[in-house]
Amino acid sequence: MAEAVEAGIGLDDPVRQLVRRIERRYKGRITGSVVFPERPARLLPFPSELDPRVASALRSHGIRELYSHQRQAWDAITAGRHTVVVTPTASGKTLCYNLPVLQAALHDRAKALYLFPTKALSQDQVAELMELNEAGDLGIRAFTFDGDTPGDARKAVRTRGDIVVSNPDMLHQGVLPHHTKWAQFFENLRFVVIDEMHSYRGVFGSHVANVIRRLRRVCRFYGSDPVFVLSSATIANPAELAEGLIGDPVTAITESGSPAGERHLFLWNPPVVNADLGIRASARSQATRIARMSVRSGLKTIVFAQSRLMVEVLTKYLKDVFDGDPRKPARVAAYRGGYLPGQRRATEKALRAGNIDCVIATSALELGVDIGSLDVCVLNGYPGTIAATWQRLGRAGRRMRPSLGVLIATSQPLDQYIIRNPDFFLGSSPEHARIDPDQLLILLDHVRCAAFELPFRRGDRFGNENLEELLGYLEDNGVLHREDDTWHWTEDSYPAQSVSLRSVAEGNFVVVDTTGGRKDIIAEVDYSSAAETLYEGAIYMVQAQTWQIERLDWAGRKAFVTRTEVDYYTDAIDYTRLKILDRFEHRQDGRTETAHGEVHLVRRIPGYKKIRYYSHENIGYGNIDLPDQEMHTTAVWWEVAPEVLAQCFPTRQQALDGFLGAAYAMHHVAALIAMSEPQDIGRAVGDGDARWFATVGAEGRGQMRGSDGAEQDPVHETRFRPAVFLYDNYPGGVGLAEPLHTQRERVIAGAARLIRECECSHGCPACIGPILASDELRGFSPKTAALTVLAQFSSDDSEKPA
Amino acid sequence: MTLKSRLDALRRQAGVVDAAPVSGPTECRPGVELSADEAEPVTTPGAGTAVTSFQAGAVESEPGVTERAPRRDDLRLRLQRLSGRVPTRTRCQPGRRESTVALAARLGGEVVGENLILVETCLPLDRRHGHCRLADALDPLWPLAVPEASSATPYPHAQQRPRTRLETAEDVAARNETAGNSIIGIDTETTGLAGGTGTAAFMVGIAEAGPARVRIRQWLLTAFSGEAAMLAEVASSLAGADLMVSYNGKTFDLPLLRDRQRLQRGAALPEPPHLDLLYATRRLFRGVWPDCRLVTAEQRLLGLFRKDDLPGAQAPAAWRNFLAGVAADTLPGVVRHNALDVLSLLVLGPVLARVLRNPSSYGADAHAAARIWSRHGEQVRALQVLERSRHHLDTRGTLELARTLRRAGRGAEAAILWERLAEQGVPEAVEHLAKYHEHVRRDWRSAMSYANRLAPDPGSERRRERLARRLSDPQGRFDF
Repeated sequence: MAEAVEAGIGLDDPVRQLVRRIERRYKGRITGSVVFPERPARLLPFPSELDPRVASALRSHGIRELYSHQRQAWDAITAGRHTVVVTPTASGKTLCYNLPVLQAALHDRAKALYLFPTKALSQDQVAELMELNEAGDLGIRAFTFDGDTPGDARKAVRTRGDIVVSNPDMLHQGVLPHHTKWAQFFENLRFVVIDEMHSYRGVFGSHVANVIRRLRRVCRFYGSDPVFVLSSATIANPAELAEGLIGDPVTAITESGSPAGERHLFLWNPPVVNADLGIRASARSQATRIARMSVRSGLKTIVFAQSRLMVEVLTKYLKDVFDGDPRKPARVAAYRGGYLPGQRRATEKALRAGNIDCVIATSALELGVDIGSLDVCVLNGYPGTIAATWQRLGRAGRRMRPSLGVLIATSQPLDQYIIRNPDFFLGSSPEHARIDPDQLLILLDHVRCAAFELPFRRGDRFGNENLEELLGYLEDNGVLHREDDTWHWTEDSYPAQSVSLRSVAEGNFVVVDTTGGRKDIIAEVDYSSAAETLYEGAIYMVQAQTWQIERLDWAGRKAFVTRTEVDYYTDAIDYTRLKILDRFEHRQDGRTETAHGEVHLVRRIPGYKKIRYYSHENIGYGNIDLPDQEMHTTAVWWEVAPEVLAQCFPTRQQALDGFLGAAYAMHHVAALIAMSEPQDIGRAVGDGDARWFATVGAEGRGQMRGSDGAEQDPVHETRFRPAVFLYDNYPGGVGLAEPLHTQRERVIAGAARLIRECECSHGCPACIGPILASDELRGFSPKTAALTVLAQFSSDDSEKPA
Repeated sequence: MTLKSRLDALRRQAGVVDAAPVSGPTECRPGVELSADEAEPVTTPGAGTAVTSFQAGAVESEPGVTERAPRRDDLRLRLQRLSGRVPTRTRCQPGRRESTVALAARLGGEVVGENLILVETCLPLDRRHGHCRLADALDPLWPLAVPEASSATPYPHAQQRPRTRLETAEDVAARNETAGNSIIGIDTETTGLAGGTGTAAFMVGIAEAGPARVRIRQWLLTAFSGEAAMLAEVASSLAGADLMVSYNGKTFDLPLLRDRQRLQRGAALPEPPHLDLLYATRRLFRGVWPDCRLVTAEQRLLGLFRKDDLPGAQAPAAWRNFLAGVAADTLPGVVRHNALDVLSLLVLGPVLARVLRNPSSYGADAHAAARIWSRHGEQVRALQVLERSRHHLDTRGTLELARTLRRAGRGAEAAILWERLAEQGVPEAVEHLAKYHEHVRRDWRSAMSYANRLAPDPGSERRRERLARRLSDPQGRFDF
């Protein structure tokens, strides 16, 4: 690992050549560039107490010294301190925890539990452990325990595994509710390893923190108190997140001692193609261009896209270039969630073997799946967070060789903001990962699960709400039975079964190919994205091949598809209505009201658009008949009094366009301020009573629709009191709305700046959302309308037009 | 908005139309008159029916409705609103719960520990159980009662006793298991059917067949605090048993008891040899009966049709209602149900052993029966079973019979069966015939005619080539 730096990196290095070519030819598109010089390794000797068998296993792998962070981790972990290690991709983080675990297993037969967010990662890990185990003839038994572990092997895993590799979902549903069968394991449990900790944020993280509360509670029952070792990609608050997850102080190791090659980074803005409308060339076209150059230079390339749909579109475009000859093995592959595990493993293997020149992926490849190292990483759009951007860029960079990353902006406001202010991106710390383990519904779910596992006694602690009140609530619901000071589980159910850590609703959809009488499952789609992906008429893509959905069995969670050849893809339309239930805090003057509170939300997908490949013109619509989805959550909203509106706008239609434009800009600025991903926050414009809502219609204008979805004329509305809602996109809310309310002035000011400073004349996707050419003929500027609305929202009078 | 209007709005939204008002009176019903039928502890002849309406005197404290603490409302409201649910039940009224003493009297049992009732019943061996008698419980279990994967031998003395001339090995085993060996039937009633550590047994029933009578002991919890004492009683019963018989106990009842014992931090439960009758029942009757539940086995094999039985799936609710102080009138039904279960276990074992001897007369799968015999080294018995059922065998069974015949040196008879199957186009039979004519009859011509009917694969190609050579050299001098 610490072999000498290759000396022969010169100007003829293919990455450096590509960098020079891009600088020469596309100077105008590059808004920022930076070179990170290579960084030598910092090495420290093996700890003297390291078991000689482990040391010799390491040496046989060519490891003679440890990187400084590996040695620091050893010192902290063996001293019994909970530790989080924050290091870049491919820096040898697994040794940080494997060494202390192996040592303790050899000396004390101590056991360890490894948790990975996905099954794929755990399989990589067991393979790596086994290599070390064989090299040193250590006799350590590491087993995976997940949904794929056959029934007859489970007992052996429970009783004989020194290291059990699993995932939080399995711990939650398969291990903790049966902890008595694992008694021997828990009695000797010394280490719990939580890898890819940064993926445990938001709702998932809040659930996982509660699963860990339950794990520690069960451990206490068996008299053990394991040391937690966490590893994370770069985030702003690794120690804070780790402490939130495990509920105890954690030592953070943040300086990596591993070497890195020279890294080039370009920020790239597509050229303007229509200055009037502020329309730029698509990021997609730029991404394919750079990927083509890179692959032709013989460089291994990865392209990250924001959505599964975009992965398929890009894959098609690149396959059209490189995989024209069906007799030759494919050079281009797609990789995303929703593919079947076997398909994904095959792609990973081909990548490691170097058989694929270009892979197009979603965030599914952001985690530490072992795919070997690549040379060039192209980001088709800003991933939404600074942390995810660095994480994805880290996929390129072989040891001590130059690498290139290119971040291409889309016309999304966030992208444009980032790309026009390179210093903001390069100078900011990555985001905070937030969790709220005491979110009431999540906490209650896990109090139920915990009560099933071990009875609660008066004086016990679990989370930071009043536990006795929660237990009392469950008692009232006939779930628990209190006897003296103890609450026993009495319901005839298995609570973990009904609690999913990852999404709120149960049940993935499977996509079934029925072409020619077949019945093959070709993909899975999780419930939360089913409504906008699976509908009758939708084009579903896998590896750029297209299927059409013929029939959807919503209750049975199945979509039946047949192969089809079309020149378009489909994109769902989304209607959202909100009703205010409760105002926690609000500020009101005669003109406007700003509040933060609880809302009830109904989302409907009434139809879809057909969009032609390459030209991206809209070539038709279809209807969708799906059940509405409901959610209770928290939101922050801004309302303007009808009289004031009447003064500011000549027509209600203009006001509506102003609200929609303002909401668009506010949404994106809010995501930045809340340091969350844009999809964590939802936006809606409508009446606070769910009587009507507004949406941008096909012709680019605001439309008012009633609760039945039918279009209405705003002139006839008796109570025209529109509001902009920004809501927490998780049932019950995970605490995103409140900080937005406290920082409401920043949201408004930021949105106003985004619109004012935009180069377009009437509005564009980079500020108030897409408008059409005909908007110039409307007789008013949608951009001005949005600014007028924002001026009313602001309590700062300087924002008001004179 | 007032609290009430907010609540109403929320409940409307949650689709609750007609739920009890959240802070209104509880749903706890006053004691319901017990019908004599339900209350009669059938398993306790002569113990006197101790029917007590617990309305009359058995209520421990005043049946007042307790006011909920108001400070709880905030959290409660938030929860209801977020979850969109309004509790449809209200907190239990421990004051209305029937006392342990009163319940014990009503069930004809005694209080043997804090919150623990023991109902003990002794029944004579001539008592009917369906169309069987309890004495049938003493009939031989061989070959069922050799636990497949257990290292322990249930009948250590079986080989040592002198055999009389007419006795078979099974007779010896049978005599041993009834003389001095203790066989128990065990079944639990639980708070749920899902499994996992949160599922508890609130009742354990154990029946033991003695030389003169069957004794049933049933422990019933009246609170969780009695669990440790109950598990200790169960442990000592298991310790004294030479064989325990259950229905699905390997997967459900025993793991559950072990898990709960671990939660109580008690010593591990003893593990006597365990015969789970579900396995044999499934092998013999899968695809024959609509299902293999114990009730089905009782009806089809024991002729027992339960009357007014409380279905086992309702047991969890019966006990939960008792704990909550809701009418406890279904608990006697649970006691009776459980007693019938454990009695059936004792009788069903020997009846299944009988089925194994003559499966076709019970409609059972003779092939499966023969395999059980073979597994215990009883090849002759296996052949007997198949021969007796030869007219009821399916293709698989007939192939098995032919195989067993050939092994017993009765190849000609096997060939007749194969020929019949071969006419029906069963490829395995054709292959057997090709082999038989080549290697046993050494009739190359017949062998070839069968070999020609085999599907082309490397094995059959080789066979045909070999036979062709043999046919060209009919002296058989060909050296293989």
